[in-house]
Amino acid sequence: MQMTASEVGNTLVVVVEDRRIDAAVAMRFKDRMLELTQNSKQRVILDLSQVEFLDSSGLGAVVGSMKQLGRSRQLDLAGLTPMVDKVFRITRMDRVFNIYDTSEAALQDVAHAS
Amino acid sequence: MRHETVDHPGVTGGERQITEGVVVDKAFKATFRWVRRAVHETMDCLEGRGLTPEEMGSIEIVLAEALNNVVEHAYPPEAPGDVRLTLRLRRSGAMVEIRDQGRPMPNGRAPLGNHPMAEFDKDPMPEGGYGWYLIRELVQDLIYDRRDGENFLVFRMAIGAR
Repeated sequence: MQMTASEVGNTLVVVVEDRRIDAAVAMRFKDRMLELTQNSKQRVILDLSQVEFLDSSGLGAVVGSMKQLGRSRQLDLAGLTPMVDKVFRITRMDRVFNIYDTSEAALQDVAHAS
Repeated sequence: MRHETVDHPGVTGGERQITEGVVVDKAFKATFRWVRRAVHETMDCLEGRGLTPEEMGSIEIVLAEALNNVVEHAYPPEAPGDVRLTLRLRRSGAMVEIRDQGRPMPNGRAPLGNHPMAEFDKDPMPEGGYGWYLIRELVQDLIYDRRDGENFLVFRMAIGAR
């Protein structure tokens, strides 16, 4: 699972560089998220703009990552491509996460970064 | 994220031209890797048949969910058996048949696919259970049958409706 993280102030931006988060890699995604966010402070933005496909296992892994971060840290999503957006909409998980068009837009929206 | 609707070349003046016929009929080993490949090949075969990107997306999600269910639930992980996928395009939509010789579904029925947040009172944020919910939201006329040690999952997707 190719993923990179960079710090911007109090925010950690995690970029998924693979095209799919599906059943075959969902566990690895979650492990990698845990690894990358170990020392993150308040807010994590997950940039999914390179991910073209996400299935229910991938969705579960994103939810799991949010739970791993605990209550003190927040997970926001950015750059949902059409199919990923569709899965979030159908399952109504778009109401659970703050979702931004781009990670830049997410970073600018400091007001919602509680 | 908002994306613009692009006119598909298969759509002309409101009259959809869907190329009917058998798109895929193949058997393969029930592993995540083979499912990934089979779904990918199926999507390749559907290119140029007049489906919209939205319809293509729905088919890809449903096939991945239904086939991965076979991988995860029908066979023991150490001894995966075969799964057979058939997809036909008809006037009434995309007809999908998935067959395997693994364990029957619990209680001999396909799951209802309720939203996982409504199912598990104890966990407000469940990490699983979204697969059947997605399938039920995206398909019509789903039938599960068990005959001669074989699971049949048959469903229709309202694709290319005029």
